Amino acid sequence: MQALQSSALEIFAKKMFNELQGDESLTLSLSGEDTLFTRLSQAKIRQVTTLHQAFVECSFIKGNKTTTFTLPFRGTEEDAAVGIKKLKEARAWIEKLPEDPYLVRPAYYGVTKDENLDTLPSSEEMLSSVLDTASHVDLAGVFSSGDIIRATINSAGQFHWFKTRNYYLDYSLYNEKQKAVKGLFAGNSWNADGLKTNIKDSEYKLSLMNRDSKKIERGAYRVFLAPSAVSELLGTLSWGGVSMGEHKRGGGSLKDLWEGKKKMSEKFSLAEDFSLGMSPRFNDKGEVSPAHLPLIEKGEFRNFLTSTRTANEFKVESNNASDWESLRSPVISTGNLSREEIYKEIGTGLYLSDLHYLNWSDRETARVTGMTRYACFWIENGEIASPIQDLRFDESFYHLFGTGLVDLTNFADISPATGSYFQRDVGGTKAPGILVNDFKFTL
Amino acid sequence: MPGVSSQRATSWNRAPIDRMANVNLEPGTSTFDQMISSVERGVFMRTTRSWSIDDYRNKFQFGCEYGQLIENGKLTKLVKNPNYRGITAPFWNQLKMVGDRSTFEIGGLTNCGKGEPNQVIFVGHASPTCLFSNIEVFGGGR
Repeated sequence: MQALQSSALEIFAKKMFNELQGDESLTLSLSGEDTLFTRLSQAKIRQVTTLHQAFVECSFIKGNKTTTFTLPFRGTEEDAAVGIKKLKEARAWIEKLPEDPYLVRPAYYGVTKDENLDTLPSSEEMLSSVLDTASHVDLAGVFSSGDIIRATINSAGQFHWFKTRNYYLDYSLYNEKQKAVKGLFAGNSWNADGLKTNIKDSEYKLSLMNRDSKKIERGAYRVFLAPSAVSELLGTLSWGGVSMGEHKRGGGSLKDLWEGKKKMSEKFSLAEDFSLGMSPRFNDKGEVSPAHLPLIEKGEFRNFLTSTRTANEFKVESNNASDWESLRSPVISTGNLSREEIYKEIGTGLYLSDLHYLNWSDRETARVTGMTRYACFWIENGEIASPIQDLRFDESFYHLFGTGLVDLTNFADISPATGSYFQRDVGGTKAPGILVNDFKFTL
Repeated sequence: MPGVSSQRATSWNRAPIDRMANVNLEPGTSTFDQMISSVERGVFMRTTRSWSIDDYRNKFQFGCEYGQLIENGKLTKLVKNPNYRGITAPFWNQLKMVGDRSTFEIGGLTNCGKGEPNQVIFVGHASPTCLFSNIEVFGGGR
């Protein structure tokens, strides 16, 4: 299949816009990818899926009414015939719909084209390198590579096109006791030596897992959460934690911070920062978000993510967030804790490399629960003593990034989005590790 | 091991993988009233809204949308943000009564994410109302 070009979408859009009548308008939002998914087991290929897909979501407005429909998109002349047929159907059924009081009409948000197509070896070459490098370890996971497109074009003249080419190896290494450590190797440029180092680091962590696991009793401990664990916390915070709409409707989890009743630590700052370059700044409507939007600054509330729809509904100012009002490119500011000092500063406590299956346990108090996973260790007198048996935690964000926060690391790791429900995700997080006092384990 | 036809794909763009399809808890013999009236002090929980379990399906925690106190065999006040947690085998060993068919309904979560690449698929699990003893419950912002 030939790779999709921006011109194909422009040609399709022009034909669709030519069909519009009177007070009608249209926004077309394209998501596409050419992907090789390879599932790996015992460092061998288990299952391969080659995927070429593209869809256009069409948001059609007539008067004060709106409806959406989705079309498969091949980038050929046949697309327009299908699209025009669907548009005519939409024109008929929209009459039966009620008016939308919070309608967001298409506007001109500029024209941009961002193609980040650094030279990568072919997917087959990269996969071959993965298999060679991992031939001596028990590796399970998925290797994914290829192009991703996000684009929007509307009848008011705006057009944004974002295309990136990347890969990730999201894997676990297992030992004979079926204990595992997790690794992620991802990027826009290929570095075979970097892959070797990444797997070697994971092998070292796995060797520590050969020691007998220590059972930790429930209670409060001094804990270091590595950047990957902090990234998981951001994932949960993104789910109603920083959404203006959720807070206006009463379901938001940082209500006390928003209302000025609570603060977090002065050491904690969180921003939506598109300088990471992993996600387009435009949303599905083509609205362009600020390059840098502080959300929490030195422990105090600054902004929530606010879509234009939420702005219309609650008479507040939009910052052009997505309709989901979730984090697309979050960055947590770093602190003073150096890599070399981590174990010493833990003293006696726990080092948590990864967290798993997080969910809110009490939104009103910003409390989150989840499990420790993979390479998590009991630390005694500043040294790794043993791996731990999995623990369940239940802790408030106000404690994690407030009363309990001792320090953040002076480095931050980028965690690219590896989600692939329906389509490969774009975006990522940049987070330091955090040292926390009295972190509560409940099971 | 013989196959049980459980391999499914979420859509044309994903390869089929093993998924739970219709795993149900069979009804027992107790009526709802019998279960409630047997409790001196407890919590009646319904409608899960928060869920978390480890990858060995061992240590879990669930939160519910709605809960009521059971006092001296009767449903009384609403409780705020009811949650419970436990470990799978000991939890099921605390099962005391299983509701009859009148309490049996399809509920829980109607979709489930799994697999690499990720797939979300509709699932349905039917269950009667059940009574457990000595379960750790908490909530109300504490």
